[in-house]
This record gives sequence, C-alpha cells and structure tokens, in this order.
Amino acid sequence: MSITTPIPRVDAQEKAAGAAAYIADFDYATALTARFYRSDFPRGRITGRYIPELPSGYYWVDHTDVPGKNAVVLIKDDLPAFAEEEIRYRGQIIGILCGPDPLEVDRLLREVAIEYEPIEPAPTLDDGISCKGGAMHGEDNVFARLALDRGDVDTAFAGATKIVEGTYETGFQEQLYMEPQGLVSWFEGGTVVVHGSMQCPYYVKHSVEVVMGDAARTRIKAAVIGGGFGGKEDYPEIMGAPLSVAALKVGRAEPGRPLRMIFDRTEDMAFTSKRHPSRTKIRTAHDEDGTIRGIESEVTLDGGAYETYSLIVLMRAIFHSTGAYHIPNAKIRGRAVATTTVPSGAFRGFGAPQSLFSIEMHMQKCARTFGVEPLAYRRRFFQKKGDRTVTGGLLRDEVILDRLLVRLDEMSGYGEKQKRYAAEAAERRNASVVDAGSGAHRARGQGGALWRGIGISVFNHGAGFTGDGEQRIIKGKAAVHKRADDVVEIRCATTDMGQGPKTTFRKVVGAVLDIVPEEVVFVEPDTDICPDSGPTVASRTMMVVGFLLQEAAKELKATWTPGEEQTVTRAYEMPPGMAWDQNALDGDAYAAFGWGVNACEVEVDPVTYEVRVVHAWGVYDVGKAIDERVVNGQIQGGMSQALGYGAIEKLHVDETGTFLQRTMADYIIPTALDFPRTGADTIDNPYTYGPFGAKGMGEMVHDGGHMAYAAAVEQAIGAACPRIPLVPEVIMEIRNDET
Amino acid sequence: MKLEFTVNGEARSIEVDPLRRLLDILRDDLALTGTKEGCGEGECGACSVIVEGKLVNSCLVPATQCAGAEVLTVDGLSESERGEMITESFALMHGAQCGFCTPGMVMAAEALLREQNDPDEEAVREGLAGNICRCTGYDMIVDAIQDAAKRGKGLW
Repeated sequence: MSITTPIPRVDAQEKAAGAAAYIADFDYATALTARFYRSDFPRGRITGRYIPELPSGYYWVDHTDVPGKNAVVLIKDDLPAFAEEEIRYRGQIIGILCGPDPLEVDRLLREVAIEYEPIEPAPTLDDGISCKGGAMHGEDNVFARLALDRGDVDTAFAGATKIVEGTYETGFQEQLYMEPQGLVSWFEGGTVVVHGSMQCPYYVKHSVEVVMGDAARTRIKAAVIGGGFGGKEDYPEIMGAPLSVAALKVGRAEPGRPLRMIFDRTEDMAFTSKRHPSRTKIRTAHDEDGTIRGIESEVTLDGGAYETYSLIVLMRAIFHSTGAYHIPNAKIRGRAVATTTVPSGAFRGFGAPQSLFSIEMHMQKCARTFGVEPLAYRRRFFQKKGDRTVTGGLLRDEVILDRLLVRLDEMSGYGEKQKRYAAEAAERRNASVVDAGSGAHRARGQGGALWRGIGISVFNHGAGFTGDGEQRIIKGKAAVHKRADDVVEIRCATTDMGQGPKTTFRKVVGAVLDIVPEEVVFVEPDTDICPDSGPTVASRTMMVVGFLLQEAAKELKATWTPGEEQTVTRAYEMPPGMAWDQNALDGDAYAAFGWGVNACEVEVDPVTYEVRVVHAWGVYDVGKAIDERVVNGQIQGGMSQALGYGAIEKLHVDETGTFLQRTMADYIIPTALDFPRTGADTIDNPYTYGPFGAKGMGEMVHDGGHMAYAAAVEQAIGAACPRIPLVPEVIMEIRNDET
Repeated sequence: MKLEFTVNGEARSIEVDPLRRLLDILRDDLALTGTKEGCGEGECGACSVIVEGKLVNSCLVPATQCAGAEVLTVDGLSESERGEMITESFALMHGAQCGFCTPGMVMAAEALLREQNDPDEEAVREGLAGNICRCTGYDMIVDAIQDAAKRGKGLW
C-alpha cells in the first residue's frame, strides 16, 4: 500500500461524536472566570486608573504584577503584556479582572475607569506612512525595511522598449477558526501551567518565561485545537503571557486555582490578529515582444500597532515577490508600517498570498499589454531547475509546472474555455461600441447573458523557516518513544489544529516500523514531556518535523529491543549544500518549494455585479502526499479560504482603526453554498529531505485561489482587478472607472 | 423556573433562569460538552441540536422554549446506530479537520437524512447552509454525509 493511499482520519470520529476535549470542554470546576480589561479608546497616554473595590475572591491584575519583563515576546518584544502608559489601538490589554461569578466580573469591569490624554489615531496605511498624530514607532512608523537586489535593474530599465506599471492591494483577513481563543492557567508548587488552544506550545512557553522571570517554572499543554490558520500562532502568547501573570497572583493566594479565559466570538474577531493588508507597486521593463528584462517591486504591509511578526511576514512577502518566475534583474523593497489597528499577525501563507497576488495580477496586466494569452505569457518566464531565485538561491529540484498545467487543463478545460470566453468578451466590446454610438446603455449588459470568465494562477511557496532559521533559531527536535509494552509514542510539540498530523505522523512512523498507524500513540503536546519541535507554522510540520520522526523511527527500528523502554530523539540538520546569509538576505531562502496551479471559472451578473464561482481547481506539487485525502482536504479548504479572501471577506476599519465587522453576521466567510466542489489533485515530485519525499503544503493551498478568481473576473468584466476582496461594489467601481 | 424536559431520551428536571440558553444548560448544567459554541449568535451552527424533531441553534433557544421538549444532542445521537454511521463516515471521508464544527454538522446530517435518505450533492449543501466550516471547504463533509446515506441505507 502506498503511503498516499488514504486511511480514515484517526481523530475524526471522536471529534464528530463530540467526545474530543477542546479547552472549553474541560471541567475546571473551581476555575475563576478571567477577562481582559481593554482600552476603549484608540490611542493616547494613560494618566490615571480607577479600579473599583473588589469583593473577596476577585482580583485585578496589571503591569505592576509582572515579576519578569512586561513584554510579549513574538520575534520582537515591543508589545507590552499589559499596557503601562501608551495605548496604540482600541482594545489593547490594560488589565485582567477575575473572580468566581462571570456576571460579577463583567459588572466590575464596567466600573474600571481609565483617564487618558488622547492622541490622534492613524487608522490606514497612508495615515501610518504620513505619521498622522506623530510617529508611534521610531521616527517614521516603519517597523521593518528590507531590500533585495539581483542583477542590474537600471540597465534593464534603460534598455527597455516598454514599461508596465501597476499597484495592487489586498485587505485584512480574519482567520475565523471555529473555536474561539481559550486558555486555562494556574500556579501551584512553583510551576505556572497554561493549557489551551494553541499552535505553538513552546512559543507560549517562551513568552510566559519572559513575564515570569524567576518567579515560576513553566509548563504548557495543548488541548484539542479547533482550527488555527496562524491565528493561534501569535495570539495564545499575547493572551497567555498576561493570563499567566494573573494565575501567579491568584495562585499565591489560592494555590492551584485555575483561571479560565475563553473568548466569545465578538472579542475574538475584534481584538485578535489579522492578515496584514498590503499595497504593492510593480514596474517591469520589457523588450518589444514582452520579455521581462527587469522588475522593481515595492511592498508595503500594514503592521498594525506593534511590530510583533511584521519583520518575518515582510521577509516572506518579498521572497515571494517574483512568484514562480525567473526575472534576472530585480530590485525589491519592502516595509511594514505602524497604524492604530490590532497588531497584524500570522495567517496561513504569511505574506506570500499578498505578494503572489500582486505579481500574478501584474502578469495578467503584462499579458494584456502585449496581447498574449495570460498562461502562454506566464510560461515564458517559469522558473526551472538550476535557476537562481530572487534571493540568489539555487533551485535544486525539478520544477514540474508544465506537468501540473497539463493535469489542470484536463480537469478544467482551461485552454478551450479561455479562448471561448475571450471571444465572448470581444463580442460584448464590439456590441458596446455599436450601442455607445446609438446612445443605448446595453453596453452594461442589462437584460443580457451572464458574463463568463476563467482565470489561472501559478505560484510557489517556500516550505519551512526562512534561510537557516531552522538550524540557527528553531533547532527542532522530535522523538519516538517505545514503552516497555512495545507501544510506540510520537513525542513532538507539533499540534494538530485540523491539518492532520495525528493521522499523517502516525502513518509515517507506522510505515517505517511496520505498525498499523492507529496503534501508534500521538502524545498531546506538553512541554514537560515533548521536546521542542519548533512551532506548528510555515508549512514545516510534515517536511521538517515529519522527517525527524521518520529518521527517529528508522533508528528505533534498527535498535528495537522487545520489552525495553527506548527513546530516539532526532534534531534538525540543514540539508547539505544549502547556504544563507541572514544579514544580506542572500542565498537559499528555503530548503524546498512547493508549487501550485489554480484555475477558477466565474459568471458575473451584468446588472448586480454579483459573481458566482462556477468551478475551482487546484493541482499541486507537494513532493509526495502522505495521505491523499488529508492533502486534498487541505487543498479544498485552503482554496475555499483563498476564494473567500478574494471574493467576499471584507474587513474594514473605522476612522480610529477599529474593525467595523465584528460578528459572523457581518464578516462573511464561505458557506457550503458559496463555492462549488473544488477539483484537487497532486503530482509526485519527491524531495530528498522530506519523509517519503513530502514537502510543505499547508500554506500553499491559500496562495492561489484569490488570484485565479480575480483573473477570471477580469476576463468576465473586461477590466483590470488590482484589488481584493472583489465584492460587487468594488467591481462596480472598477467598471465605472473604465467607462 | 423548573425546567422539565427530555435530553437524549432521559427525563431531566432542573432549576434554571428562564432566559438561560439551551447551549449553557447542555454544556454547563448537564455536562454535555459535545455541543460547541462557535459564535453565540446563531450564525455558525456549531451548537446545532434537534429539538422536537427540528434542527436549531441551541445558543438562540431560551430555557422557556424547552419546557416539555425532547432534545437530541450529538452526545446522544452518536451512541445510536445512525449516529455511529454518520460519525464513522466523517472519519472515512475526512469530513472533519479541526472538528469544532463537526458535532453541529453531524446534527445537520441527521436532520437532513430524516427528511431525505438519499440526498444528492445540492440537497446536502442546502442542508448544511446553516453550518459553517472553515477547514474543509465542505466537499468532504458532503462526501461523508452521502457515504453515511449509502452505507446506512435503511437506517433512515
């Protein structure tokens, strides 16, 4: 049986029956309810605090209670665990109030009053750039500035016969994992424990260690996780650091008393991190036949009020800024800017969905400019084995985009439909010229047939941490442990937030050891038991941690001693030949790339500009699928999320930087009726340093749906669509601008 | 008020605030935590239960509306032959990823299969319209429900 052959999902029946324990399901009978007190103003300086007198058993906790450093460590440590003086966004955490009766906690919270001197907020990217209200970060509000230079761009532009320019914009996106954030924390016997919904137990551990200082040792345990998508990469630290401080204070008075903090949906949507909005300006220099001689790209990300992850999101954004294309001369500039919104954070794709949108929509524009069919145009610049990437890295493995596209065409009929819908669009244009002459308004298509279009996207995604990050920073470890009864346990800090390692890791270890996967035990990540495998992020779960488990299992097999307890731990080693200079951002930015091609077919109502997605397809090179259904489930789910990003998920801020959409009634994500069945497939292209040849793929599935959708809408409406989400009112604006 | 009703076939009598949400009664008062809270405003369907034969969001149902009612939750359904059939299909067809919406999906599936025991894809999607999933894109949930209908022919 091939490793790709699907098996039943090991944890699914228990989840379906309601028997899996998410953090809100644990019976912490004596727990106090803990809630944040958040700033109700967007920006200013705190000048006074009024805390009501608290009944016995109730506690107020703030920055004065932090025994260590009052900071949440998330790559950068500029976000305080509790605000001291400065407030940069509405909802910033000032304190925690906890006690036995939730209603009384809420009543007391309403009595807390904060005096402050207001400062003018800077809600938008332009406000951040112009330092409205004064700079909140450094002198220019720029958290991070990065540059990549390859070849000789000036010569390329000087010799160009044509220059194509465009500006591309993407909006906020909410992860909207179905289980809201939730943690329980307590202090007993010198240890502070945090238990809950989190992607990265050791990230939580590091952040709690910083606020604790020497006051406590730390132990972090993951519960079953109801979805993450990056949203539980950074936020459990932002939440867990202050909550652990409260647990310490309460636990000193009442040892072992748990604090329970479970967000409702409104708090979760209003105050947890979102995908960075982006604006990218691209200029390309061309020969007469359209050949791209060089590219200049300037990526700006809206980082929100604190830097947190913006530097590394920006890195991934610029490293993906030339997409799947070989462009020898490149000048790439990136910056992340401060605004008075909730700090932007991790979301599946981590900067790549933004910059890939920009380059793909720019390729669309170039294809139109030179009158070439969009896919045929793109093909001329596909990267291939032996090429250098935009960071100067070497593509060591075969690039099989052509094979992916053959399969995509078989599934979608792209080639034929593209021609047919292009002809329909041309007919409409001719008809509208005639109509315009007669003064009629049928040009808009009133009463006519639906406008049809098909679009394509081509992209890659670097798997694992950037450059030598796996070796230099993460140093991941994973273990297989054989108990004396010869049952094998997987011990790693990788969490299953739905992406499937409880099934796929068991398959990898089981296949090596000739054990039925279901008989391998997956230990729920616990920092007292499991080694630090690094965070569950960056498409590194299978490729990096899965490989360590495969290698550990091989060693266990070789040394297997029946009836004896054995543990084999493997630590990450950089694949031979990889080279990276972190200061110059030069070399192999990623050990391996996954590749993908998507197509999307739409019908646009010519009166209402409502778009119906008729079909969507995705074909991917993930190295080797460890389980066909797990991988196809990622493709279908990820593409649905990307289509939502491109088509319907509108999230705006008001004049203070506060999100206007704060419930599931007004932030709309796809239902079972919004998008059709997604055609999903993979083609094998095994990678030497992945288990059974597997590469990373969890994020790449969110990299292409929004561009394929936008490209399809472009064909249908006959106008460029440089910004998402492309909701009907935006399409109307685009049409009005055209006519 | 004193609430007397039947939950998963068992007669229950408890003292509750008349406005207490059925969801809280189930999870907190009766320790039936299979039913999940995803949004608390009737948008996501994670808290779906069947009351008097109808699929409802338990976060929108106050205690007063439950007096004398028969309530079926995922905890009860999954013990039955039909429930086992559905939950097994979710594992076989990978209809659950993070699993948080899944108990609600299972209840929606049961409600649908009671109405139509061999639904086509469109009918299944209609039946799931009130239940949000962020992980799967719904395709494998549809597969799971159709698989349960096929393997469990005669159960509904």
